[in-house]
Amino acid sequence: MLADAPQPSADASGFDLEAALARVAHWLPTQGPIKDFIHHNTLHAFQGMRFHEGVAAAARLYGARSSMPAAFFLEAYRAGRISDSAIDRALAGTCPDEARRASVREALLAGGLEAPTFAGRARDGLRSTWTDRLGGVALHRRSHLHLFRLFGGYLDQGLSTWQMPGADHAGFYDCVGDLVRASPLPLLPFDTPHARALLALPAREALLGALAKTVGRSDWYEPYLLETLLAQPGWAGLIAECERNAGLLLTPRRMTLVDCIAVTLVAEVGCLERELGTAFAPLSEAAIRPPDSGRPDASPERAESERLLSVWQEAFEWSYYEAFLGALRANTARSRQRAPAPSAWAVFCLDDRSCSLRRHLEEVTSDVATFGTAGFFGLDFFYRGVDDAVAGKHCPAPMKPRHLIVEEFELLHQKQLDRSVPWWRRALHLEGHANTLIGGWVLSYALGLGAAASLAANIFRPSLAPVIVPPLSTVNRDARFKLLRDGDARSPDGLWLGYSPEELAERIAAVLRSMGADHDWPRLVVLFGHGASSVNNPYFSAYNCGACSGRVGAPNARAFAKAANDPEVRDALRARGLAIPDSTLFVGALYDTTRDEATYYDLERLSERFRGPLAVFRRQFDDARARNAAERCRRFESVPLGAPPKRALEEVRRRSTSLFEPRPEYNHATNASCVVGRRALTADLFLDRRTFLNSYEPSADPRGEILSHVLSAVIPVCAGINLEYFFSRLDPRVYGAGTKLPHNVNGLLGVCNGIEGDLLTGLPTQMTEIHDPVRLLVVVEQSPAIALAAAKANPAVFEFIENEWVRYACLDPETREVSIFTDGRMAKVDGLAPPRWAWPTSLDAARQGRENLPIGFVWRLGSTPNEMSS
Amino acid sequence: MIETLLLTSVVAPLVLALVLAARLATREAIVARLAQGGAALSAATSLAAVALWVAEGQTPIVTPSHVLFQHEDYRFTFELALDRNSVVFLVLVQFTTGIVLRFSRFYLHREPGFRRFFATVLMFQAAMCILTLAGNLDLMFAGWEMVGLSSFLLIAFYRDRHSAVRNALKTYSVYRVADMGMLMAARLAETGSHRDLGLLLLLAAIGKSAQFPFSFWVPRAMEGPTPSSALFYGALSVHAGAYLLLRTFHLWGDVTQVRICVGLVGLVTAALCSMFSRVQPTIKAQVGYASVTQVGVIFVELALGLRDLALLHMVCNALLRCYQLLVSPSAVAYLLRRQVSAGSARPAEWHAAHARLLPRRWVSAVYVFSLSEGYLKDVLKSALWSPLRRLGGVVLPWRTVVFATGAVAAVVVIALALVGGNRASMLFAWGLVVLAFVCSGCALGSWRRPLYSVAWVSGSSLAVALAVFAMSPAQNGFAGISYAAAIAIVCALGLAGAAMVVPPGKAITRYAGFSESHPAATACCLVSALGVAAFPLLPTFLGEDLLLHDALRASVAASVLLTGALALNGYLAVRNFAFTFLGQKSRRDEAGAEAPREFALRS
Repeated sequence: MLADAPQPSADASGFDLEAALARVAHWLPTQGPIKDFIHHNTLHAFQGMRFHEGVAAAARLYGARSSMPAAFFLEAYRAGRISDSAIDRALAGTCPDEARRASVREALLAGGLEAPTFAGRARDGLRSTWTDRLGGVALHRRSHLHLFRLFGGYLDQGLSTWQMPGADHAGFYDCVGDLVRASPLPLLPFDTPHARALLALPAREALLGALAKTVGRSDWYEPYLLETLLAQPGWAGLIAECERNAGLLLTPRRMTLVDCIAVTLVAEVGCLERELGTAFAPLSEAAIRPPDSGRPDASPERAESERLLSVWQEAFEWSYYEAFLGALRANTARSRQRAPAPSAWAVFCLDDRSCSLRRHLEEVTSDVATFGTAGFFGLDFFYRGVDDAVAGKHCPAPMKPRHLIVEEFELLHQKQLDRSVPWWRRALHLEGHANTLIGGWVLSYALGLGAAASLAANIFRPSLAPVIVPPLSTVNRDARFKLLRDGDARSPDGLWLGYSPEELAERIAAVLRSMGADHDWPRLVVLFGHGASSVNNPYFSAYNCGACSGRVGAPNARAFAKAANDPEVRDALRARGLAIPDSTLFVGALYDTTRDEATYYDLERLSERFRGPLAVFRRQFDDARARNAAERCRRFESVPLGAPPKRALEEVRRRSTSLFEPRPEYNHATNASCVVGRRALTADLFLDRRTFLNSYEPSADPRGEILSHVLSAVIPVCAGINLEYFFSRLDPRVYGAGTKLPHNVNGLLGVCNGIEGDLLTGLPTQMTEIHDPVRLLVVVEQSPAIALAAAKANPAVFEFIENEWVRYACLDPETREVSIFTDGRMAKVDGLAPPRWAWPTSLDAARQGRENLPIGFVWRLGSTPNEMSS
Repeated sequence: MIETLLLTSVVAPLVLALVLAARLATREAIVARLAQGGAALSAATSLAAVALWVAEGQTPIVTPSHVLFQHEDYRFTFELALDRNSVVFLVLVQFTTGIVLRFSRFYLHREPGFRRFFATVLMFQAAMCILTLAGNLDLMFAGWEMVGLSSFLLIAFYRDRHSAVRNALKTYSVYRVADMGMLMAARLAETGSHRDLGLLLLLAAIGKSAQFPFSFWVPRAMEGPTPSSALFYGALSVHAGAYLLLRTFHLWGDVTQVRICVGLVGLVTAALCSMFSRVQPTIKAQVGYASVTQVGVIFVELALGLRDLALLHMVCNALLRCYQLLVSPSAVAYLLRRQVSAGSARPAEWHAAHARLLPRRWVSAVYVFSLSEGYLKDVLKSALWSPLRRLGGVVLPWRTVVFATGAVAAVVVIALALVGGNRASMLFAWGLVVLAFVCSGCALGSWRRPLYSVAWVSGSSLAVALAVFAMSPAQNGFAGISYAAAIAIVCALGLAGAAMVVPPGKAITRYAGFSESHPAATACCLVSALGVAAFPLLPTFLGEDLLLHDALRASVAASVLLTGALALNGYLAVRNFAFTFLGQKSRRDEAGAEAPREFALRS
């Protein structure tokens, strides 16, 4: 499209700004404010391309790495983490000519492969002319100093004490223009003649005028705009994202991409005028190289070394896939039964962190069955807790909920709760008045020694020190919310205030049926939403539930339990053929993944007959969570390997309250696979914490409709998490946020380096350092035909699969054959071997080391590993 | 006893810093143990000394002075002083360093620069101990310089990042201005008038404590890991200037003009920086400016003679800001939550509502002024830095002439010295001073060719040495010769290092980032740059002191200029190092090697 643009037409008339902007904005990162960190595919814009091509094209656009370095793969090969058979499988997929495979293999193993590096269009394109003319310093190095403080000052969500005059009612461009015009003092760099004149025009005209002045050829405008925005991807992306979703900012601001670009370009005119004189020549007269005006997603010319490295990548992935699929298949063959009628069900989020927790719970007792489903439990709503100013979305990011749940304190509790924070703690903790002249003067005397004491206390005894944000478990246990709607009550913005019993029954039935949890009811069904408490961590939201858009899943679990216990809803369920007996109680709970703690809700009015079973369950669960903590601790070098569960529990609690701990937990790091199927497929397998587990009953779904529904939540959430980790690990500098240690919070919107840096997107290295970049392998327990049809039923889901941004496999419950999606069909995978490892318990496995462990069997306590000797 | 204890508290971290810098330990656990051990030993001995001092009656004591170096009437003595001020500040130094070191031991876990970080922080700890305890200005200057250089190294900790390195250089350039004041003051301590001394000390304190008009560097220095920012710019480094004024109060406290200047500087800084702090959209900049605001107030308190209050304020402010910076990553979670649960309007909205009552012109002017940080950076840049750069542009085309002049001058001076006559006139010496600046200008202009640039800096330093040689009396050439010799060694090291990475004919881009690929050359050039900047552990430090000692006897005006040249050369040497070795290798320059054969892989 861009390449076909008509050649030189010096006037701006042939240039369609809106269309160009829409195209350009497509390539910007789509990360919102850091308070709702939602995992998504970093290269979402390239998802229409095949995976390796998309990554290569993105590398050229952003100046990123297109592959892990060859040394990484070679080392993995030497360490046995890449197997020879995996290389064979990778070659079979990538090198059609069998005769040449041996020579390719030789080249892979010879070493000396070097991936090409790219500067990215922002540095390599038209704008490099400015770099040359400014004596080797890129233009944006000058303009960003001025621009970022304007962006930050305007969008600030409550950090600075003085807000930009006019920010609350004027758009960004007008606000800056007014400031420049009203102020008798100059605002650099808008003090030059042309910059001043341009700023007097409306935003669009100023933008075009600045383009005419700096570029001078309308067919170069669009590539130049793209380059300019790619030089400040963090801010530009945030602004584009906030323009698309008005509700993202708590303090609303009228910021648009047009305003952002207009101010940017005018500021650059100012900078250029200062450096080169007012009559500087536009690029049309002086460009040292023509712009790269090809579409960024055109298939790139990939160098041979890049292709070889993508073979390495596939071999690396296959080494894991092979073992994983082999283990599932072997486990199917054994398919042992659980206790025939367990007395409790525990339902968890499909999160990879539940993978180990469920295993431990099952190891501790055979009397509990576990399930997994997307952690919003089918209830998509906006939720406003007592601590929230605006409602937050509690469902996967692509969904658009139509219900609002509001949490309130009950009158009874209101008196008992003193929610005000004492003045000294407010001043100590970064509120403005400690930073003023007089306030700071008085407060520094008052608080200096207190600060010292507080700091010393936290550093030597983290658990005792008062921390800034209280751990999750202490929050809001005493608040209530109304789930059932009064008539047709709506909120001012048109959301239903609560659900009707019918709506609830529909959602609950769908969730329970999809998990196959609709018969043989136990005494207790405990639903665990999850969140993570950490201190001194701007990325706190990324640690929460991905299926709840980076929020804590507790309200969803609590709402589900409340609804499923409600007589009206149960009636409605019965009408749908789902009769829940009165002897079954649902309990909502919160699992804190950092502290390995559980909080159970709404137990005050619990009837006597459930107390006993619940106490038993809690005891079992306490045992399981301590063991889970012990398993997690194997990744933390500060804890000795094989630390006993009790000690581990203390250790993880300490982490969650330590100011000095940049890794409160490892979150989704090492995630690699996802199973949609019965628990029997994965039970008794040590899958580490690498697998998302979603319960699904294939026999109840002969047409794949339930599967299709499940995939529509599972794939976007899990693939989003997986790909975000993948790319942040692949290039921590471009796709990730680099190391977390120097980060500086900017306007409560995000983090930057120093005070002059761009906002950082992606994940910091402290979250991704142990992650192996492997595409997610989704395995569904279904026949190939149904699996394929279910995937194809939802185009948004199928896009991930078709272009292999996730690998999609199925395990046929009848034949136990494994097939993987390749080139539009499900291709059978042969030669899978069962795991060679077995451990008595998960804790024995966890003692083996800190690295990723091979997949193996674990045995329930009390049973003997005699059948696995073969 | 007290002396031994204090000496241990200074030497222990220094020795361990050198051990770590020399890569004698590289494994994280060992590095951490060594660093914590060194810091703990230092803290324990300090506290023991303080306890003894308290037990012995809290009278100010000065340890017996050891003459470390003596030449004629120049003496470099080592003596430590313990009085109320230094005791309090010493405890503050040890407490915050100890806390931050322990914090960092976990915070920096798995960070690639772990060893480098702890080596630098230990050096900083030793430097702060020297600065705190020094019984004379010479010794204090040694600590002062080390604080400056460790600051530079930690701001540029992420050495592959452009803005980190640029801001490290910016900070260092301000520190060099402060060093000039301190260097002159140290030389004048015995002979100079209290007024001159006071003003020089004020200049030193202004630079180090980021007072008007140098306030802009503090927020920009927040580029290193958060604990290092907390330690340096929240707690200790920014208070070093105020502490200097407190310690030397007896030297300037009796001069009203100086007290007025100190008070004015403090007042202006406090007023301006509290405004700057309010508009900063980033948390660290806000806390940084808030800290500087309070240091301004401390200056005012000092000017009023409220020394105890100033000391208390220093301690409290340091601790509060250190804490605030360490918890700064919590800002998002905490402030968003607070905003919401308080249910009240944010302070910014409250202010905005009131601002509407004022004329728009004023409000805009105040906001623009604050957001532009009072134009301090821009004004200083165009007033001080740009003329120098222009000088570089002007003189560089004449470099052959400059070189020839220098060579001839050197020959003449040496010939005259050999003949043994009354060496040269003062006029000739002045000519050499100008030549020194011209050479510095050439160094400034030729940064693209590191080899030449290093040579020009050395040339400039040699010209300074020659000038002193020429202006001192005939029988006294020791200072000039010894400094020249020291510079020659340091320069040879620098040239060797530069030659290892960039061949003579090749040019580099700014922040070329060779440190990753050439660690040996980096070490050579770093030592060389430290040498030119007169790092206290290297011979050039004494040489520089001696040089000024001699120059002062000949002419005060000349020695002021020479100090300027030396400060400038130190900065240029560090800048050359940064331009060549720090930064990131440009991805455009290093095209990847292609695999030799075609394999017909599917794309």
